[in-house]
Amino acid sequence: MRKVLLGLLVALLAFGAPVGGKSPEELEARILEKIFTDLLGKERVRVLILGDKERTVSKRLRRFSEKIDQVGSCEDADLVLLAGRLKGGLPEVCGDKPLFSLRREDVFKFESCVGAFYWKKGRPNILLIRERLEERKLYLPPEYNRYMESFRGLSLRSGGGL
Amino acid sequence: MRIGDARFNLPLMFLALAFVGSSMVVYLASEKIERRVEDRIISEVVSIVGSMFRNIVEDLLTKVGDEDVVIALFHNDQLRREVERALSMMVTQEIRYVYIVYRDEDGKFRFLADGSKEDKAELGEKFDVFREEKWLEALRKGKEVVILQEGLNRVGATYIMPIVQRGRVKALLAADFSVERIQELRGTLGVVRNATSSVAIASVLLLILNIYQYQRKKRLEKELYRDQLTGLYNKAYLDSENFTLDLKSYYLALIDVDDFRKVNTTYGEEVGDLVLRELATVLRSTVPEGSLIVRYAGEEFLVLFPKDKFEDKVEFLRFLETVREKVKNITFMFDSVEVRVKVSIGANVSPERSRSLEEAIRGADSALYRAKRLGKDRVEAYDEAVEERQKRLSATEVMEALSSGRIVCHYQPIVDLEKGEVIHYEALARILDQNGNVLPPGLFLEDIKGTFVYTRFVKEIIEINRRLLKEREDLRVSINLLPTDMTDENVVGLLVSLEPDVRRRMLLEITEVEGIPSFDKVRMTIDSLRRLGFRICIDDFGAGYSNLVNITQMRIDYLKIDGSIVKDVDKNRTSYLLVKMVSEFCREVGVRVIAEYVENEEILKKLRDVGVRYGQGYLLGKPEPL
Repeated sequence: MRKVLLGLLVALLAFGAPVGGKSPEELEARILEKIFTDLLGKERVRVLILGDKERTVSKRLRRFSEKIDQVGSCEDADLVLLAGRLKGGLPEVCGDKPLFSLRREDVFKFESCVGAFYWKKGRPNILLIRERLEERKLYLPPEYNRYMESFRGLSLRSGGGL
Repeated sequence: MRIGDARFNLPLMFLALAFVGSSMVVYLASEKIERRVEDRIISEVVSIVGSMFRNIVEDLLTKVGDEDVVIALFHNDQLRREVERALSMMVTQEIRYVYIVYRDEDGKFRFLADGSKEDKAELGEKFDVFREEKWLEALRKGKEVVILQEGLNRVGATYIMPIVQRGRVKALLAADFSVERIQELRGTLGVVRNATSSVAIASVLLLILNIYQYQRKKRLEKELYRDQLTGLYNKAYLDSENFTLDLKSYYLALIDVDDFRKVNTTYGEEVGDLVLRELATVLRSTVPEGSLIVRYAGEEFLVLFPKDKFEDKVEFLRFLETVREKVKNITFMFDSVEVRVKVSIGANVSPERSRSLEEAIRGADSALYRAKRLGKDRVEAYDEAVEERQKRLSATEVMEALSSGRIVCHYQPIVDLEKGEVIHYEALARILDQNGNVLPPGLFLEDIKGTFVYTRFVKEIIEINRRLLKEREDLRVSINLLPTDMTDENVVGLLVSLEPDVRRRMLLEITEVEGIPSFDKVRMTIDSLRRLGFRICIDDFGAGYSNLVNITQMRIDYLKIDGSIVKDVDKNRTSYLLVKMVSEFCREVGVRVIAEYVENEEILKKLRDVGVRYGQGYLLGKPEPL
């Protein structure tokens, strides 16, 4: 027992991670998990991850998320998560599946992209496209209203709501 | 006595407490220092950025004139580029992002201008700020706000300056500090804090461990060494390494419930258990402080009493008598059942003479056994000093006594009850031990019967008395022999070889011969010896199952009535009639009668009344050397 305690002490001294604060990776995984389950109204969500950061994100989600089941094809997926750049475009079979991206610009690239989660100036940001969600009959609770944007109002030059 | 209770590991506990204390101090101090250092650095940076921000805002407001600053920045690309250029001038290694945001009607923050070199925002892009309440505070109050960003990995602090136009806050100018120095400081202090908090956590764990071990040991002790039924210590406790005892300081007693099996069979084991539990409670409340009570066996309790609670062993034994009486007078009530029990107590009043507790308990146990044998419901004591004196001798020790001449005879007179004269003496064998104590035959005779030692012993007795009769021509002496001696050639040979004068003054007292297989041979030997001059006496008549008819088959001179009959002759009519009948019968057949156990005048009188002619007993004379 004393050896265990000593080991614990050494581990704490050596790694001394701040207790209580979540790492950005964990925060990202938790946010995605919450958005997906709320978005699809399911306890568990089947997600296909695509993009050049697929491995990193997949590993991260596996580590920090309990409600996201990763699948290998669009047919089996409830939702497609774009992680990084997508080489060769989106597979045709994925056309009817809602997309969610980890990059803001993907909402402009893919019509099926219903939203994005990304880091802006070190802060976690969420963008949800109102028309696309409505089109797919995906409804979110009011707490998400602050992240909703109209695609018509979105533009690289004039995204504002003046 | 040291009862080995579970104990705290004190050094470990003090060490843990010291760790916790010092860790708390270091932790609190490091937090305070960190905050102070942070405040100073931020105030320095803000003082520099602040003045630059004020210049930018002043310049911007001058440029937009009466136009709303937000609308101007939104629609005037030239103006926005100029502002962004000015903002970008401020971006350094320490200031990562500089930008202007406004809050739209939906309450969302959106970028108006961004001077950042990386992660540049688009015009009108929504911005989810972190710690929004601080941003709103800057908007509402129109005052500068510094946010120390906890939890963001790229931004250490944010400085916000409101852009106020005509008394209203229109937008916010913000700078995100990548305050490496703060992070470094945080890192260093963080290590200290983590280390101290880790030590504190480990110390608390050590404390918890210590307490856990203590409680675990207590629990185990209870399970191992406590009797579940009574809550008293059990026998295993006495064998545990935690238990040590200074035998000098204690008296010991074994208290055993008499006929406890009857309680169980009559009322059931459940009631039996309740009796034992109640009895344990009674003992707990009765024994003096410092005593230790152990449920030693089923219905047997061992109690260790501190000697200093009693004046002496007599007081201790008196106390045990009160315990016995107390238990006897208690009625245990269980529902409608009333149960009364008695106890026998065996005490060891000299446990210090034992080499171990086990041996001391054996002493108490032998006393308890005696108490049971003598009728139960009594207290019996074992005193090593006394017991030692009464210790039985082995055949080897008798041999040693024979070799070293420590066999002696004491002589008790046989008196003519009419004349009051001594007619002869009975020689009673004794052994002197190494210390000169006189040991009676009860301590050695049984153990040597049937061995060659016995034969040597009998021959020694014959020899001693031969010498005596040779020296004292006025004496007549009887010696005790077993019927088997009459078939032992060595013994008989020695008797035959005695001088005729000696033979005439020597009586052979032979214990009852009834039932022996070689009766005829014994009878013939006795007849032969009588012809040689020995007088013959049948000893212990009445102790066995003999009858007078058998006696008539031998020619004898005396018949000695056993003490077990004579002692009641004055109280028990049967004994009286028996003695009378034997006396009359012997008178008829010419055998003289001797009565043993003439201990008092009443017995003497009765014996005279029935015509017993000769007597022997303490009233007439005790056994002693001649």
